[in-house]
Amino acid sequence: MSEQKKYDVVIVGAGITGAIVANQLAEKGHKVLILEAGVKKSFNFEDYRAYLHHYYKNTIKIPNSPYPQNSNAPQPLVTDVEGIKDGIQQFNKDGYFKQFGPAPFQSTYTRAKGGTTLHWLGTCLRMLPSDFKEKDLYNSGKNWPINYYDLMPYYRMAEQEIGVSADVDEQGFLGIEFEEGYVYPMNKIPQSYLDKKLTEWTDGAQFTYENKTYNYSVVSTPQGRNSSPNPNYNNGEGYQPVGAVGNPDLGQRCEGNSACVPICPVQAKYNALKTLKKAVDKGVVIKEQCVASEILYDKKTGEVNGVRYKKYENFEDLTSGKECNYTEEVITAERYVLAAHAVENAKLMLASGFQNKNIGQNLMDHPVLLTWGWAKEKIGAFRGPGSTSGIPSLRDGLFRRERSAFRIEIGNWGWNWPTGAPTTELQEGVSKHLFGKKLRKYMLDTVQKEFRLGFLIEQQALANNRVSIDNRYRDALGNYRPIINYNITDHEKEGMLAAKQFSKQFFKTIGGEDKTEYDPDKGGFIEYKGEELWWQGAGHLAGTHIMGTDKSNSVVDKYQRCHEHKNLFLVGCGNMPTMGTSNPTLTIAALSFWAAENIDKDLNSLKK
Amino acid sequence: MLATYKKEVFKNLQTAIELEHSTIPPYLAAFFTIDQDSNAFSWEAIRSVVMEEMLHMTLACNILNAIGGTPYIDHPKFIPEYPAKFNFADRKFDVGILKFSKDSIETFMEIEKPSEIKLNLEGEEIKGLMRQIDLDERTIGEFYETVKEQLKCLVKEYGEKEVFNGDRRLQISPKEYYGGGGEIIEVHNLETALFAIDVIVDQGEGAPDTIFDGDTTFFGQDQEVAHFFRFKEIHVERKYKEGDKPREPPTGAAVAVDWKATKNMIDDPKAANFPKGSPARIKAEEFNQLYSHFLRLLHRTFNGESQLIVKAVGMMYQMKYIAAELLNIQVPDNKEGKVAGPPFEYIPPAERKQYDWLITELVEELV
Repeated sequence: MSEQKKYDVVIVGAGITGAIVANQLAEKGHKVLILEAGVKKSFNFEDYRAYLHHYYKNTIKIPNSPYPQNSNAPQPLVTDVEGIKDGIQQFNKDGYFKQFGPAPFQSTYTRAKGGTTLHWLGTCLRMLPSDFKEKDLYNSGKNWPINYYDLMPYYRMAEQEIGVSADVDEQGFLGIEFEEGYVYPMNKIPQSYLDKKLTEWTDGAQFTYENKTYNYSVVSTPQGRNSSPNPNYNNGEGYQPVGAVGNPDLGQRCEGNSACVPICPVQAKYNALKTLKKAVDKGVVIKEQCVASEILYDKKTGEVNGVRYKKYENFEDLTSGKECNYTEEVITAERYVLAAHAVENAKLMLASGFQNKNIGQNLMDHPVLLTWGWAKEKIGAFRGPGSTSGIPSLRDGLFRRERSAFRIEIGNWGWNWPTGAPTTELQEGVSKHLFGKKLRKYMLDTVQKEFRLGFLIEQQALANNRVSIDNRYRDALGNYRPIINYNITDHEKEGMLAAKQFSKQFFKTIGGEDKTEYDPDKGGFIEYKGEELWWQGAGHLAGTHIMGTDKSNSVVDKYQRCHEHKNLFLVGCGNMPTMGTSNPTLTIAALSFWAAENIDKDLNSLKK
Repeated sequence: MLATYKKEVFKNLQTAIELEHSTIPPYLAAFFTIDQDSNAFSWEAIRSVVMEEMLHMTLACNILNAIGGTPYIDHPKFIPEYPAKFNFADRKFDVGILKFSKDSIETFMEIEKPSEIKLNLEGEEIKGLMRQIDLDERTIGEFYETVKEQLKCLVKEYGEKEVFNGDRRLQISPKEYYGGGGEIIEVHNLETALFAIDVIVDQGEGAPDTIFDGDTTFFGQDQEVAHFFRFKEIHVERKYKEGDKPREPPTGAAVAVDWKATKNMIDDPKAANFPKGSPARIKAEEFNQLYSHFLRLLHRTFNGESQLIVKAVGMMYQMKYIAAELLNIQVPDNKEGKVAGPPFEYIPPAERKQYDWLITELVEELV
């Protein structure tokens, strides 16, 4: 090497993937620096509490409510997707995304230290083995250059890092395998009363669709939240639950605060601050309020030779329109990692003039079809984590040739997601001039029977669903705002149709009352084959720099390294060629362990 | 003779359980009267101390069970009548159910104050001469030192197997404790029993000549100052820092304590002092019912049904909610505008009521 560099690795982004890569590489003795775009935050619990205050004060309770908007590193908001007017989807023109539709992209992420794990639900499902070879099996979607078994050891590492609670006996469905004798770090989170009642009411029943029958089995969901540690974990060594950062006695068990999204008040739910803190204790440096704006590289060899970033001192609320002062700096290292989230990674590479045509393409999410209704008796809505069980039987099958698979998530928080309950019921009660005991009874009678189903519809990776940039759309620091082109296909609509049929039969089976009613003016509403459908975003943004065999079909190789830039690695959901029907965080955490191992090997060969 | 000697130790350990428990209602009352936002530091400090008192009570039960004794929790004399008289070797003081204030924090400091003079019991001949411990003449540290000596003495005389002959299934396992420093120790021999006592004493008073408790040494946990010093930090509104001496005031960063941001709770609330039929009376009685049911559940937990401890956690949350309701109820005809609070009074089993929020196990018992 021509010059001595201060850092071995520079990572862009202090979310879960950046944190894992940093922590693993620091463990191996490498010098690591992370650039984080978000506002400077210490690891003191007081700083986390400030998020809580912001959330309490905010009248709109959306996933980014606790995390203030920052003009220098703006975030998309679910409220940026407005209604449908004269058949055309409307968007907030001041929102961070510049959306060109035709369908609304309804998912968001968080630009702060800790990333989107600050507001995730904590679902930690492994992907199905078939999800890795969808093209081969179903002539649909894409193949991965690695398979489930390649990823298995890294899934274990991810489950340890996040501290996943689940009973392994319940999780080996649809081909998922575990190593002999494996147990999760913690016992499963107790399933909700609702889950138990639904299990009872669906016992022995089946769902028939297109001449195939599926069972209704309600299965507990693995979760990244603290439960009682499993004494058998790690060959009888056990597991020590990790409490809140800066307040380790707090959050050692889930307390059922029922606020996982957007913020767990005690950090019983994993967030990346926990991994970041470990990394910093090992010597990793986090440079905050530094927004990466360009990757500098040798046009001939493709070798990256620096990251340009804008460092700001003060910040304004996004809506202020004021410009902020910043200074530009360049940082260099031996190896570079982009861990800034699917959309931001793609945007940064496009802004740097990267030539790979796949960059930005294949944007995916899980469109979530929501249905809701009343159970035949009170089932104790709004208690415990947002979801503790799901129904996996329709996640895989030959039908995937024709239509999307889906996972059914059972929601514990009544109609909160589709209708804004229980606030809406309260407003109704008040408008009926009820108060005191009568109002309380009204609330109990309505709210306590509520539940909803969420159908996470698998989406195929398609070139036209993409992130791009345009000189006309920039943020306060002069960085690009992401332009989003997005649509859903008939493949997915057929999946939604099946989901809707399932829902109708489900409510009959359990003797409940289907109260699903879609507002045709709301974003995400469609009519398909005479059936009204309405979907929301799942926050699972993926696929903007997928992995594959060569540069014609992908951006990174199976080692998570850019085909055209050998000292640049990408991590996060952007690498996923398919997402199946699993919430992606556990899988990208596993991939980050894999990436860190590859970067370590690469650095060692360099040092020899 | 072992049985006779053991009875003396049983009695002392029962005293230990009651002593550890007796601090919990006063700490909880102060804790309930402040909120996490306006008094973040104090809220967290009291919360952590009260969690550790629950640990201590559990440890005392584990030791008693290990030597074949029976913890009595659901017992008319289990809860002291507040304000309770605490008589230690060097000080006598009242401990009441009081709101968070400089006064109540001073009382808490009195409870947790380290032994100024260390009793040197080493080499003291006490074989065959079991002494009745009268806590009135000792600090908490000295009291536990005596229990340790008694156990050592019994083992020396009769052997570990005979002394630690309790049913191991009665032990509460480490996985049931969280949210505070330290760990539950399963007690099955002299070594684990002495260790359990060290944890109790050390978390409260700190090791001699240090402000820190032993959680870092014992369990590899984050460094934390002992209870007395945690209360001292609140009292002087300043944190200790590395290198500070136990007998000198803290010199670390200032902390914000809002002495005014507290529910103006009446001193030592008693259900019978509120007019019959008043909301304060109804809620206060409900709280007492809950607390008595809760003691019953703990009694069963420590006497063979250790799995019930999970349910006890749920009841502790219910306690918090009812206390919050009480603290929003004005005391009728109170000139200072004081509010009601949790009384922590014992209701005998025959007078216990059934509630729809009561956990199934207890309902079945009532039927």
